[in-house]
Amino acid sequence: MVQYQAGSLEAFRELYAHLAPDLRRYVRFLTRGSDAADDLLQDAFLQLHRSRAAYNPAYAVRPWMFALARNVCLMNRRAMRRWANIHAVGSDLPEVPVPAEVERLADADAIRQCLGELPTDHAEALTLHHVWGFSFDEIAGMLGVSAVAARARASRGMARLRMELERLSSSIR
Amino acid sequence: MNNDSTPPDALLAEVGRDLRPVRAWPTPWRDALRLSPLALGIIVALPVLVGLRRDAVAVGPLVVWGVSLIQVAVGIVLIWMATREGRPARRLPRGVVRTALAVAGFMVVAVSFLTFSKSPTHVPHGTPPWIAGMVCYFGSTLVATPLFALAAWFHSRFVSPRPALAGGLYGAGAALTSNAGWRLICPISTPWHVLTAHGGAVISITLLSALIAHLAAVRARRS
Repeated sequence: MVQYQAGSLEAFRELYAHLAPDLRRYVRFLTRGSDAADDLLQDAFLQLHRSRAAYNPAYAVRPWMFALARNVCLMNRRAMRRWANIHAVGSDLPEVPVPAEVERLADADAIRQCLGELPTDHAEALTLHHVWGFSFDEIAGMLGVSAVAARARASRGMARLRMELERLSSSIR
Repeated sequence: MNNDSTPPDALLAEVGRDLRPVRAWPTPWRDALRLSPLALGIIVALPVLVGLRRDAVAVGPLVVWGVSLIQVAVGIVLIWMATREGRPARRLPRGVVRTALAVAGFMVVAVSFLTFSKSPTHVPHGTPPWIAGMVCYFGSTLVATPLFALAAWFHSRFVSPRPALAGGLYGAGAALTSNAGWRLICPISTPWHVLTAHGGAVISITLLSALIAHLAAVRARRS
């Protein structure tokens, strides 16, 4: 990031290569697999470029970039409209990544289906911690909540996810 | 090469168009502290230029200078919170932000009653109260101008999903600082005057700053 701030295009390429795959999944999660996800990812990198001076080397790059992507998703009206439409239609399973802790409990589709049932803030805290490995302090800075609240959201999300999975498996039986 | 990890050509072209080296911005604390000489300058310059309030001896140095210095410190903290709110991954919990804004509001009210209890002074006879109110309202808004001029620069730095909140925090910090200076020269301590004129200026500056930040964000999104 420091080399990129110094004007290196190669450093930007490296940064993109390092961050884009995870960010794409995160943006897809935030937009519930919307087609706009790729556009929003590019918007997030453009936003990074425009505000690259705002980054201080004292900060970790990954939470910074995830938070930027989140801001872009929240602020993009078009994305919000599509998001709302997707919620209204409720057709496909959301492209939510599966936390490793519950992988053994059910198949990926069932977990995704149950994750889709969780309140958005719980699902977000849960996946940021269990899938992308952010600490609760980092999640707190990204979401604008305290670290305790971030931990509580993730923990409630996990408890609810287990409950939904049990309910799903009992209904299948 | 994996498509996932290669930036699209359009993005690369956009980035390549402006790759001039940039200097990293300081941390939010340093950013906020850079304004402290200006803030302290306001509370020193006003009594020097206009004259210290006539009842300064009755009010006492602790309530006159001590309280103003505390107000400036709270103002700087609010500006620090604004710079944190304006940067990704550095946001403070909502409860902390709400508490800080409530403390700032409570401070203006508490200080007005404290000052009145030490030296109850009213609008001088012959001066219509609304004129005294307007002078203080516009005067203390004007005093906030140097800090407010920097607001545009600060707002352009905000990368926040809640730009109005960041702007409001910045405005509240600037307003509290200007209020700290204005109370050193205003000889009227009656609460209705202080709360409507001085407090009204604090609220107006906060709201105006929030509006500017919101409009700056809308403009940035469109560009």
